[in-house]
Amino acid sequence: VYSRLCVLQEAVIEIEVIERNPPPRLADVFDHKDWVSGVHINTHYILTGSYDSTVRIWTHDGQMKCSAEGHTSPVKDVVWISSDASSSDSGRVLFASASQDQNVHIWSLAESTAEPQVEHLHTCKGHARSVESLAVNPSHDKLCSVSWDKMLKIWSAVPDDVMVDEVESEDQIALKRAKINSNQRRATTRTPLLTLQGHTQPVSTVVWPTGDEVLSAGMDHCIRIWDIVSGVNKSTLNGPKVFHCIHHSHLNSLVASANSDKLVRLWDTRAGESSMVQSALASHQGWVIAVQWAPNREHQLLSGSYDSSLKVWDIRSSKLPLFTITAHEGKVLCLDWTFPQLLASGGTDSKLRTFNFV
Amino acid sequence: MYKRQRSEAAVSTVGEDAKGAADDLHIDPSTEIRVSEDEENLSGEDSEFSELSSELDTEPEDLDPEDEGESGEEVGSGEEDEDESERFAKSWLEAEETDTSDEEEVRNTVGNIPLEWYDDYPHLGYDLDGKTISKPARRDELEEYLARMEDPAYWRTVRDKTTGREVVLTQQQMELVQRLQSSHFPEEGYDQYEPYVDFFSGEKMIHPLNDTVKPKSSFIPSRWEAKQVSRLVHAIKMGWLKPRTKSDRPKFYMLWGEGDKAEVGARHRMHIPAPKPPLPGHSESYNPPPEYLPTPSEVKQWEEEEEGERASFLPHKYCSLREVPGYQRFIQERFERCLDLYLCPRQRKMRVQVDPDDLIPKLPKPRDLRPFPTNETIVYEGHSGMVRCVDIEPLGQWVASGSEDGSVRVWEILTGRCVKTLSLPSPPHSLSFSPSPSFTLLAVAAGGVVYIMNHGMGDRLLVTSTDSRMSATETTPTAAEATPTTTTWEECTAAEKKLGFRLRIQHDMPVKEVVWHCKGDYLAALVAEESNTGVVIHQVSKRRSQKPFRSVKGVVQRIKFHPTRPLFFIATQTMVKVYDLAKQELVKKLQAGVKWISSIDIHPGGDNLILGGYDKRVCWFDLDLSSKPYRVIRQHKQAVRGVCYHPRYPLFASCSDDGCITICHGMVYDDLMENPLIVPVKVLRGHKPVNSLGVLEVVFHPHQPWLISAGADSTLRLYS
Repeated sequence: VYSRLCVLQEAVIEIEVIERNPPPRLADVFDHKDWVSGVHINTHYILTGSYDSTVRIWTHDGQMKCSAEGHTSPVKDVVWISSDASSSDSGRVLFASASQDQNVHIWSLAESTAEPQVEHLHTCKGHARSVESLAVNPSHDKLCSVSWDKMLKIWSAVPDDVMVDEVESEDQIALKRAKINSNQRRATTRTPLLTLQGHTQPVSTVVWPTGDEVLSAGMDHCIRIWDIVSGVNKSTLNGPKVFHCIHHSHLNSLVASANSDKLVRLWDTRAGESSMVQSALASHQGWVIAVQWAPNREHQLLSGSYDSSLKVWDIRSSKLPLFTITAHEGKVLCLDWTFPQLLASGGTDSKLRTFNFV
Repeated sequence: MYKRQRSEAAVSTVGEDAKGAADDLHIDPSTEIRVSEDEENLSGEDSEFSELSSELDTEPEDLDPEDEGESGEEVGSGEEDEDESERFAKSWLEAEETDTSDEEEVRNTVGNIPLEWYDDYPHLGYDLDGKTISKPARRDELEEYLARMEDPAYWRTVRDKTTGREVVLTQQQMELVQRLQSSHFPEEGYDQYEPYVDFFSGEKMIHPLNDTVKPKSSFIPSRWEAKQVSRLVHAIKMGWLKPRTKSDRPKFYMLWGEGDKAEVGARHRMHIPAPKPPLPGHSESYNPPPEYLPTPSEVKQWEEEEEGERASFLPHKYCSLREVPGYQRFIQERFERCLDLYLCPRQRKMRVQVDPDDLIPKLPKPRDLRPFPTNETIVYEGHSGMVRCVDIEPLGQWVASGSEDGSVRVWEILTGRCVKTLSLPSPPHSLSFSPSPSFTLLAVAAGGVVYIMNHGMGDRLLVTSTDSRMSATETTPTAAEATPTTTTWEECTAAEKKLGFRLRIQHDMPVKEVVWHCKGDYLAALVAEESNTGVVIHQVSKRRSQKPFRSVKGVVQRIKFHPTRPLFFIATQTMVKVYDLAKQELVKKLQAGVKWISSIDIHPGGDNLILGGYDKRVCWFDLDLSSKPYRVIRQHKQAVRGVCYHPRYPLFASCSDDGCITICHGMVYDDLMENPLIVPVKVLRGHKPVNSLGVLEVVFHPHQPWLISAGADSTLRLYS
């Protein structure tokens, strides 16, 4: 009777139609010599860092374009500094790599010539332990690195030969002079623009969502939000576990975190201290090691775990992922979803796999 | 008068019965009056007579003529007596039922006294003229016999006690006696169920009995009562008057206590029956069912087992009882049974009536004690022999492990990557990272050599400064000559230096364990010597060795530096000795009470320590409290191999040969009055026992609630 009454009352039911995506399809397998620990995709290339201390550049269809060797220890993270060759002048793309040898290297990839050439521009020295993660600011001119020495360091990401207009500090002038004196194209050493201290334990991950705000998280179980202008820790979100990876979505301003347990947690940094949004996403069987929001979809994110699987989530369903991809034979170490149609993940089976996802 | 008549109703009824007048007693006043007169006259006799025969409730007036008559008939003693007796006899004959009051006078004048008092006199009282009244003559045996034979009324003749005369009962009296004997109403035809007429209160009268005006006092409250009440109230208020308490004494109780009955009961209760031997079952049968017969494999297994452990008897089938041989163990088993019987303690255990749940201490739930390691997360595979020792770098990025395959491996904790493999000539027994933040040193004990190596995985500057300091000490003249020890310090070869080794400290005997002092300069090595073990303390900066402990009694199992104070702990097989290094004296001895200590760790606070024992126990000691264990934890099924405290979280872990790791919450409070709280929270499994060796060592991550274990299955495992 009650249901009949309900039907009789004219209610408007809003039905949201969500288009069902086809599952991700394996596109390519990129063989590496050692574990793949960092990956970043731009419109043309895929940048990977590996435990054999090498940074490699691949085309989307699986051809290795070139490799950059210069690190002496495993590379932990790689990042494109300028997203596209067309956006930067002089036809070259910059990228950076962080390594366990406690350095960050800034490289440039020249596309103008037929044979792409990688040039080691700068070595950023200053960290005292292995550098774990890198982030580039939205205007692509600064780089933030975090390390096991509990520090965040901000580096300039602009190559020296472009920085003519800027007011040069004394040491930069000295560096330039040294470079001119040596008169050869050797990588110059950079010192940090800013060092942020505050983490009580090693820092493992960093994101740079807006121009003057950096989010970092690590083994002290908290996400710290830093104001770059003043260089202070604006606020702290305390979590229950070690953070392996956080990622900020520019579509819904939420932060997703991969912790040392089986959950993907969602945070709202605007809500102030201790604000875990919604429930955590639970379906992984091992530590979640990497997480990344979809670049073009508000509710979707990708997570990779030590149980060798990738999961595509819609955050509105916290119990079941949209898709589960068994991507690797070992642990997943890194993943990327910068390019909307392409998912990539690297793991301890020394392979990078890409997946087409419409 | 009227009242009296009613009270004597029963008696008068009987009297009328005797006369045959069965009319209603109330209605016939003349009878009543007469009876009452009789009563008045003979009240004494009446009561006497009722004593004579309780059933014989006859009217005395009826008896009198008979008495007189009988006595007159039979004996005549004295002239007056004769006359009288004759007259009585006549009257008896003439009118048995008529009653004459004048005859009564001479009956008994002595009153209501026992007749025995007159036994010595021939008379019985006196008559009105003062003459003696002679006793009625008693018959002798012969007369008695004759009377019995001849007198037809003999059987109904009774003796009147008051007068001593014999009375022959009348027919009515006989009937009355018979009715009473058969428990009937004495009156024949008495209707006990006749309707009851309530004369006085049954009817309601419409008018009052008297119409007088009620006095005023009948309807105003009584002033006297009010006064009494107020006095009582005052008494209650002042506490003079108390409510009557109920006495505890039961209404009925034993005046002289329980007596010896209780003693008997106690003895009965203390009876302890002899223990019963188990009853034989099917398997003990000479012809057991086939399912009870052992299979050949079971027989073989039985034969392989030890005498004491296996079942004493193997079922066997015989087709007939004749073929059953003598039981060989009969005497032995009887003897054991006798031993059981007479050696069994004849003492009753006092069982305390306690709810078992109350005995369980109220512990917090494990889920409230998070964080602690719960899941196996990463397995570090690569060793080919069992992993003996493991240690984590102070910052927590790397873990080093030494294995039986003669290699030391360094792993990245978070990913499980083996970053370094160093081969040693002999398998490493122990390794330890220097706790000092300014050195990147790792000490490895392998065989008789302690290697000091620069692992080179911290800060680049630290690595180089460590190297420079090591080479700086090299140039200073070594003080090794000053102390006559059996250790030699050697510089490593160039090939070894490339791998990171810097110094070799050569001992003449194998080194079992190596531990760093918290400052990172001193290094203690436990050396197995010829007869027992010795402790050598090395100073890395000066390349000097010394043996501060001349002779330690017993075999030293483990050694440990105190985390903050200059104390040194030596765990021998049964006890822990605490030495003060500054004063060079023995401070304390801890009696472990375990059969061979296997491992020791000291709480980072410094006031508590845990011991693991080969007898499956883990003991927690409070150093300030006692030299006995504060708590003993029996969680493991096999020998405990390693124990460790977490440097930051209130956790400790123990690992054992059964492949299990037990995580306990061990909270030490700053308040010295509060005892440590110890709660077992988790058992971690994962390692497979190999050759009855399970997990050999555990170590906690320096700043995370994670645990790394080294197992005999040649893996390391991270639990988070």
